[in-house]
Amino acid sequence: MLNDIRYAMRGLRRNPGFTAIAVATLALGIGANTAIFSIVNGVLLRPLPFADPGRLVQLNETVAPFGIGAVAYPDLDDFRRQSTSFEAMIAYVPGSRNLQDIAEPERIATVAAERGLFRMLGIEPVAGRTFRDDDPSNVVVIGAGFAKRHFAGDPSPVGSKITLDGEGFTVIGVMPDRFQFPYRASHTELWIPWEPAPQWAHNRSYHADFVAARLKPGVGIDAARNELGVIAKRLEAQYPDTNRGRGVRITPLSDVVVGPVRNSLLVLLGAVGLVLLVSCANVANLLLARATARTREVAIRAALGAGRLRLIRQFLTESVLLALGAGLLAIAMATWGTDLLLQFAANQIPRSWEIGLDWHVLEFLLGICVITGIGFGLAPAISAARADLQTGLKETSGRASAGRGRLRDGLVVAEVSLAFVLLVGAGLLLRTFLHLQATPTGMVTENVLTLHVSGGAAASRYRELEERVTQIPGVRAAGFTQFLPLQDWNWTGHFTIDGRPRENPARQPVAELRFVTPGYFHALGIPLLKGRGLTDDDTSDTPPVILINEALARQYFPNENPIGRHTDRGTIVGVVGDVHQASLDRAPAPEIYHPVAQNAAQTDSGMSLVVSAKLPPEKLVSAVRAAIHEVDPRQVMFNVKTMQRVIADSLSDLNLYLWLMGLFAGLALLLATAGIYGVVSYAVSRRTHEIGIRMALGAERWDVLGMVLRRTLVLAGVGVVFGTAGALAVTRVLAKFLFDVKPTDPATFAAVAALLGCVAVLAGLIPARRASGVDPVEALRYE
Amino acid sequence: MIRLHNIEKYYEAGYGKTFVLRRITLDIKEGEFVTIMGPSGAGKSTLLSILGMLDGAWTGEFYFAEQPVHKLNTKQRVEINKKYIGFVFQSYHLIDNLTVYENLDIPLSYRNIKSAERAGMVCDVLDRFHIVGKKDLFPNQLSGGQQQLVAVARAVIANPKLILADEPTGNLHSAQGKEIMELFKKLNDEGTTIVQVTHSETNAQYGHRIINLADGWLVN
Repeated sequence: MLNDIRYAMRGLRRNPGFTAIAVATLALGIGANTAIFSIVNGVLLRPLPFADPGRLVQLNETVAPFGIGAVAYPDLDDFRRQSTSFEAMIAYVPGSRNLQDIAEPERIATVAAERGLFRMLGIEPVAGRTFRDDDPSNVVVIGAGFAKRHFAGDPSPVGSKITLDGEGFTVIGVMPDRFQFPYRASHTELWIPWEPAPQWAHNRSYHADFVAARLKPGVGIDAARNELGVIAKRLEAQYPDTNRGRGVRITPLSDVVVGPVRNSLLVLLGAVGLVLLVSCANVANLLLARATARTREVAIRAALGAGRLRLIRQFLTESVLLALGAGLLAIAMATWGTDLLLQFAANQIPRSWEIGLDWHVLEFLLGICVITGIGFGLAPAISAARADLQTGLKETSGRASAGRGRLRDGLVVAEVSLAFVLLVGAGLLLRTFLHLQATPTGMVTENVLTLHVSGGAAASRYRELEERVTQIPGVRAAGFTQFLPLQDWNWTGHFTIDGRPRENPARQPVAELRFVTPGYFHALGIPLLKGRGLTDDDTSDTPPVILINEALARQYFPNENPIGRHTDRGTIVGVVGDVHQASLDRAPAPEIYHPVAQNAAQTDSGMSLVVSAKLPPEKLVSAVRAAIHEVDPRQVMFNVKTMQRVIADSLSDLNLYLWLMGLFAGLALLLATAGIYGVVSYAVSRRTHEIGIRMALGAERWDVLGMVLRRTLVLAGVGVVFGTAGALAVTRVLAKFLFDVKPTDPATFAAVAALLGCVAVLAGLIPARRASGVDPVEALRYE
Repeated sequence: MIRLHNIEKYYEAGYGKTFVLRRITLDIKEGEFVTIMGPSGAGKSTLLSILGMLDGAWTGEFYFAEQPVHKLNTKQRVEINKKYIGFVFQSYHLIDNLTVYENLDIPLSYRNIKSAERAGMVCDVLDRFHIVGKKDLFPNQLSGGQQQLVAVARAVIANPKLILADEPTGNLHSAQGKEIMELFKKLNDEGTTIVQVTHSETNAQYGHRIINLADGWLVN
């Protein structure tokens, strides 16, 4: 074996060009796989970094027709008292606070949680302590990143004071560097104690935002689900007014964290696996060509007594060495690729800070090196070992056997097929992206600036801010909304229409609720279709009014004028156009717009300002900041974006997915092109003599060119046929990512087939031109 | 049919030129059977390649059927090749992965002849050369003589006015060689002009006259 390794290394060293191309080709495939696997490993495979994370779950209540929702706080109390399956149930509220009393106020992601949170998670702080049950509400546990930023020179920030939204807090502990709870897009840095307001204890309409729980050891999730189901039924019987139709859902915490990206990551892992197969096919082709050139060497080895297995082993040793060499290069490529990916997409990948190379990744790398080494090396090894001894000894340069040629053709067909599948996948995502981009949003988004203004101001103050901003030169209109459109956020509520029978909760009319100032519609160009808009006259002292959107009017007032109709949420005074609120791929839902002036409590988390400008909105940022500070110096502004950026951000997941699929498809296309070029080029070199004969017999330059290109197109054509079958089978997994495009979209398939045809012609053109330039006299003499 | 005047062929070699053919002036009439002889390296095969329009890098004047070949471009020369000329090579040069039938079909396929007509012509030649039974065999399933027979059949299939044969019996034993030469004689009797290159005095006797080459020069 050592001899085999020595010979193999010597052989590879003597052919630096071949070795470099093979290693680079494999490294592309292995590196891409390692990069994606390191993400899959960090996100999906590695357990959550809590004590015994398999026992952590999230609780939700289910209420028809809203589906999944938050747990009512009194229900949570009942679950705690009556359930025997759980060690702990902890309610928590993610939010953000303004860190004040520092040079530049900063918006910090926070979590207000019941005091048992850290005990339930089983995580110890690196300094100080976590919450105790008797802690007052003005203590805070800080993250390591926050400690580094704000207490850099302080060996222990425990005992320090910070001010959040004007309220003083004492730091009691510092969490480890990578600790994060909950997992969400913004990185939580402060944890403060939370308890429900006294009125929550008995009002089953008050919901805790989120509830995490820990199962007792040995209790299965199904048993816990059954138990809570029974308790929910009991509560339904006990409190029919509020709890009718309420159920409980228990989801493993790991599913909550990574569930949304699981399918995407697995599809990407599959896609990158196809790239590896294309790499392998390419290198197998190179090895086959090399095996042909080594026919004489193999024959001599065989003549000297090497058995077939021994020869196969020799060839496999070389291919595994190539794969291991590629693996070393792949580590660097994977590290670089992962860093680059996370640089752009850290916010879109949960647990992104936990991604990195670890032993699992290295084991994976070693595994695919050995498997691919054997995989792509086996066919050439067997082919070489089966060569005819007598013929081989007569050969000086080696001539391809028909069988070996067919194998090479087969490998190229496989490469084209795999590239086709990936290109169709990328094509379908691209079409989805383009369709979404072309979807009318219902708003005017050009020259619109948005930013979030922190809470704490009175409702009337927002109107004041709105007026002040509108006075800025270049500003066309300005308005506030509780949440900007396209934030993947919905807040749904029931409403009743006066004069219509009261339905049970499951059948009651439902609408998305929005809270806005009068200028909002003008700022976003949302048209008023009927009635009037909101005005300054709609105040807390006047009867409540609402605007509805077209979708609500269509659904609940199909044949009547809704203007003037009374609902339990206010009188309908106007109908405005539909806007894609949740996301571009979801049709606008029925919506109710409440004036903020009549719903002051809704401004607690701050409001988003929308400014429509006559000039590029970026130029207005400082003027808007100054205007807001002029009215209220304590306000913190963040998330400053143009509306077009907001829309682009809403497509960022798809965009990332599209880029990665496109990258993998591009790699596969590149490798397949190289494969086609290699095979056709090799075939031309082998057929020089035949081409010479044909030219002597009257073939013209175009005949030869056509002959070579025909062969190229046949290879590509067969590849496209198999690729079409493969893509039809595989693209179904993309269905949930597509919008307005079927997974079998004929236009995409046709475009990809045409692209591959063109690429095949280009790949075949160089060898074809070489072939058509063959000098028949020389070619015939070559014999 | 063929008129050569001061044909020269040379390769650039370092500071000078290496001549392969020097001032070849020669007439070959239609219906002639001409033999070119000479030692190895004399330029016989090169002259044959020039006559067959396979080699375009030469100087001098060359008229083929009154057409000035020296003034024609490559495409026009290929047209003359297709229209008038058939080739027979010493090592047959059949295409390995094509059957006898397909090998015979190749020259016709390059002459834009419709497939039905081609099929008729191939069958006719198979019959004429008594190789119908071999039509589905590959070259490596034939003896040398049979392969050369197919090569001659391929050379005549498009009814050329001129057959150029480069050592057509060089790889054959005497009986097979004789058979091929008789075939050439017959074709010549039927009106086909034949120019052969050979080392064999016996084969040379089949021709009407012998042209000798030495070191690229025409010698008497």
